[in-house]
Amino acid sequence: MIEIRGLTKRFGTVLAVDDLSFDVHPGRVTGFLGPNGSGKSTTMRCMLGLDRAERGTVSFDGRQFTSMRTPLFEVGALLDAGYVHPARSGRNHLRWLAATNGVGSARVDEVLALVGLTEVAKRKVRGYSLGMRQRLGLAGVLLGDPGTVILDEPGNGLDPEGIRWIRDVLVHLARQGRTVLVSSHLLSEIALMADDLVVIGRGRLIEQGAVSQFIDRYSTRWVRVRTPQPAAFAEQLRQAGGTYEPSGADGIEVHGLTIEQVGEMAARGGVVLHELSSQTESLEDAFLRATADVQEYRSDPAAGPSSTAGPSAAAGPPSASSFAPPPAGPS
Amino acid sequence: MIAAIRSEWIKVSTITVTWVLVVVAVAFPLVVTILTAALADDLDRGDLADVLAGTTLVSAMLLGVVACLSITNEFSHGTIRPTFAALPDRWRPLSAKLIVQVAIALVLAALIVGVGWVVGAAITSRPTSLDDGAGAALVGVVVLAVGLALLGYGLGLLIRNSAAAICVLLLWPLIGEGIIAGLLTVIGADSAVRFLPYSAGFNMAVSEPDPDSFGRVAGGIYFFVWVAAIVAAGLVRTHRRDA
Repeated sequence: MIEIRGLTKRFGTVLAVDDLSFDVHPGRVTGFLGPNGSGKSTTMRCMLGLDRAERGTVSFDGRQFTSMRTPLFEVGALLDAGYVHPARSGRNHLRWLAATNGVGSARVDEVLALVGLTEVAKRKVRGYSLGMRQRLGLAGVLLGDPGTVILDEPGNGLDPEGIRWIRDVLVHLARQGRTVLVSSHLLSEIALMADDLVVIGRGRLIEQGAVSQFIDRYSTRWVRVRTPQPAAFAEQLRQAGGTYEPSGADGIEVHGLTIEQVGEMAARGGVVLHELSSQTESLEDAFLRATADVQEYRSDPAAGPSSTAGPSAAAGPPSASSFAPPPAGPS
Repeated sequence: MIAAIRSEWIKVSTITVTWVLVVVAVAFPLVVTILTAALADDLDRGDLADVLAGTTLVSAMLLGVVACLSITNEFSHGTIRPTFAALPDRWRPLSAKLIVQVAIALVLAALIVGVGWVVGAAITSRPTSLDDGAGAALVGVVVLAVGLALLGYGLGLLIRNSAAAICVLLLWPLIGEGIIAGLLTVIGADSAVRFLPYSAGFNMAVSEPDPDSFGRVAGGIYFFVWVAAIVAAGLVRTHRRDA
């Protein structure tokens, strides 16, 4: 278990991490999310003693990282797959890393096989793709078979097969009882692998908890209905206290009523339904909503099509006018 | 510490540029010394040692470059971070790297001087001798090689950039001190020239030290005090700062 308490790190006048506290539990994959410049990487570097924190403590199963003599056996970390000398072979990169903690060459070959790099192990790293470097980095993480795994953007540069592979590896490691903390900007990937989330913005904690809890808190749910009589049924829904938005020729997006209420109304009124489904915003929507106030870099909504990537564009469901915003700020 | 030393040895020995520099450092003085011994027929008794010490000085600088690159490469390629993440007590990897670089410089410089002298003396038809400071110069150039390796290591820690650190390492003794010495002479402060660190240390590697200098031993100590200060400053900075 990782326990972070009051972590604070300042670069000159910039407060990169501000009194940050959270826990990462064993047996679960914890996604570490935040907008660009929110302090994720700085937090991870502070956790490993690479950046000197101004205040606060980080403990791994009750121990300070800096007190570990052979941390590869306890905490495996990959902060950047680019931290390799390009003129050194992948195998030799792992050899020096393994030697620091007395890990033998046999284990180096084992982890190379595990990440599928055996055939290119003796090739210089400058010839590796970014995806291969990510695999090499993960091999380094696994050298000591550690109980805690920390990865910063491990999906960068990986092809779809590679992303799926690393997702499966991390879930597998967590199911073995290890503590897994992984940051990523690929929210769809985090949604697929993470059990818990830690979301930060401008160095401060925004939310910590289960993924489902986060989505419940920051996303909108609505009911989608398709019926041959959309106008008549919509009027019934409005009279029942719901709000609606037309969706296509025969669709209605209903807010303010549960799927059970909508279904019962249709049954009572003898309305034919072609579809009745509950809709929920994605983790991405929830993330953008949760971090809308702490985005350091955002596109200009008036700047054209690219602005659809900004939080404002994704923040609202079809009937945003009837949407009651979730509570803002840290939980 | 043994594990850290082993790791640092793997690092330095698995980079091609290390071997290129080492081959040049070893070959240059040996080739020049052996050719001199074989072809020159006007060698005096101490000349062979002077040639060997003089050419080994070039090797010493190259070994300083090896030491410098061993640390600047860590910063430029980011490998200092996984190094410190694997050995959180930063003194261990930093000390291990220092030990490895000193050992490389010491062993190779001693090897060059030993082989160069034995082979050169066997080849030449002229009389050779280690008397009159010649032997001391050969020992001195080995010590100077260790000092330059330490200097390269310290400059690497302080400057972190390979090109800049190597420039300072090589241009300081080759050009910088020469210019400063010239300026001191022009303004009539000749006596201050002895305080130039490399010039002081250089007296270790010559059979007849400059009479105006601190001399062989004192000059060497003075040089090493400077080197120690630079290494200490680099170590403290690296230990305190973010990696």
